[in-house]
Amino acid sequence: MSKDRTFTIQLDEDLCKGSDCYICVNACPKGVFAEGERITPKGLRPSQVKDPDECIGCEICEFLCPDLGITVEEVGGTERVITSTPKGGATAPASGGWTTVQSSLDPGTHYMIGDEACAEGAIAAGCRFYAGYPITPASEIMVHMAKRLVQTDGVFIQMEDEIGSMAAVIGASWAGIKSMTATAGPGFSLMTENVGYACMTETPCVVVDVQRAGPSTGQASRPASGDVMQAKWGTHGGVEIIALAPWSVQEMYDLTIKAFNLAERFRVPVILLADAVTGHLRESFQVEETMELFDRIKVPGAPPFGSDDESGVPSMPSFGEGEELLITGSTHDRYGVRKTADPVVHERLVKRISKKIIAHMEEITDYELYFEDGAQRVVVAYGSTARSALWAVKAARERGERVGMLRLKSLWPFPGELIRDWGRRCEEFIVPETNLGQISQVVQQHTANPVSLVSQTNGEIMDPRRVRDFLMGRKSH
Amino acid sequence: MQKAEVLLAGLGGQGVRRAGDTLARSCTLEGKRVSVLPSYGAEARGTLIRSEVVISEEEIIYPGVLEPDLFVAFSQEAYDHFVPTVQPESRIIYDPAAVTPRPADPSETGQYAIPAIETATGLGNAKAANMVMLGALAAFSELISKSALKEIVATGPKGRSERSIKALEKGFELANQQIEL
Repeated sequence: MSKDRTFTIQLDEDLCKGSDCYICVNACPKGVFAEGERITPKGLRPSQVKDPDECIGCEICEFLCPDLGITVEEVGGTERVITSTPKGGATAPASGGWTTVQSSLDPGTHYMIGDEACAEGAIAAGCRFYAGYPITPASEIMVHMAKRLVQTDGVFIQMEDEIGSMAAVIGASWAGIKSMTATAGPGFSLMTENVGYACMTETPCVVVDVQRAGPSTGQASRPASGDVMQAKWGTHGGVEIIALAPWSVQEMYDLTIKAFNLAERFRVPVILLADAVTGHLRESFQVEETMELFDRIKVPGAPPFGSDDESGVPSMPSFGEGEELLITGSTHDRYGVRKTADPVVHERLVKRISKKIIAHMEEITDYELYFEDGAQRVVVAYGSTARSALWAVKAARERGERVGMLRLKSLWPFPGELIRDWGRRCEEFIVPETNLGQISQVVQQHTANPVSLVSQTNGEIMDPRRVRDFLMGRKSH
Repeated sequence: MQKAEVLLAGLGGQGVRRAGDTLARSCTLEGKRVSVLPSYGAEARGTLIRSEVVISEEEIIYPGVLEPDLFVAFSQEAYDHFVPTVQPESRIIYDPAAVTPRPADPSETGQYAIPAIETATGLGNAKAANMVMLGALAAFSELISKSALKEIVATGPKGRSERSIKALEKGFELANQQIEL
């Protein structure tokens, strides 16, 4: 910024509000601008560039002008690395994609509760922002994040409530930081509005719902899986969403990392549906030396809300990188400009933000099969209930029952093809759930075979004997 | 030992969860697989609380306790609530200051009275009653060694760990006296 360099200043009079503003006149450290003398046909008195030779190229005027009416360029200078407009010739290299990184925890065996392992998974995945409000049985995630983010130069905020928490997480993500929050049913209800905002603005973030027995405050410290449908349909507008369901402390760690990868990869909020069992359970888990992480794709100058790329996932700039960035929950075009009455733009947007998930079903879907050989009946289970279910399936197998099990690690988008496929090979599905029947209904949508629900809503972990007795044809426990 | 289920239950605030976690951590020192499933009321203090510890040589599928091999009762409510799940060949450890046991045949059900609260109070802090119980547990079963328990307890803050180790030793001693009888 020395005076042996000269700059040209372009001031667009059509954009300038003049005497209503004069921010440039007041902000310029060198008095380059002056109040206008001429009145335009609009009745405004735009600023004037009085002394361009004084300009030192600090660009404060360009940065502060609310109407983007000022452009400062160096005479004979080199091209700037990042353009101020998406239409300009961008030269910064694209970034993002898969990388292999060292694990933040020491490789080997660790012994923690699920909530702590979840927080460690987040730190390992590169999460450096947490905003939340404490709630049983998710509070331990918050406590652990508060401790770990201090050690990793991250930011931790306890917000006034869950609405604010979710909003802060979205804001942090747009500042370029991987961010998360964790809650339980009542807090998740408050977050759902902004989960929709994250869907619409295509904001990568992770929301952990450590489910407890509801509705309402219900039994605060007891497990349930009543939020499965809420995760999918809770927010208004009805678009696709990604939700994962861990069954162990190991998966509280692994699936949190996966949740961040999916969020970054598809620019979506990802919901981790844990429960009071997987959150509070203490057991050992393994940490590998390295892991694969995905960082959001940035292509400078590319439109942030539309993509010709087949993936349907647009480039994501951050605030402060010099791009023109308009973010709105209202319907918008590929540059983020509101189009609140254009039917074509709305349909294209809603379909694209759903299709980018559905089109990658195979990449997202995660499941495990047990005792599948010769299985005439298939138990479909998820979360902590799957542990009880596997115990029961094992017990029934030992007694000669031809029963197998499919454990869903990803619940949304629902892997209907998997059910259709198994439906052709087995005779019946059995779905144990600690709710009044949620995934069992979805399974039924994908098969003509009979689907039986084994429901338990007493605020306890699913009693494995209840599932075993059902499989053995005995009366329920 | 292939698999053992230990149930610790009492009132919130009695150190039931701490006892379960300490037992489990000690088991990991000895290379065993172990899971702890805690459960408590929304009020945390004063309500029925339990810690379900499963110790196994194989992978633990279901992490809860169905039929405890060892039941440690810290309160009457906990005793009354869980005694029906205890099998005849299992052992029950209870604190006579808090629990009046059912008049079952003590030899068959293996009920052992350990005056944990009284002992801990004598050592200067009633809160160490949970450690007296753990010491007794180590004497009554092959599940855990006293040395592993002491190693884990020693990782706590100095004042507390010294007191806890004394409580462990005392519990171990009290249990051994009963075994000799």
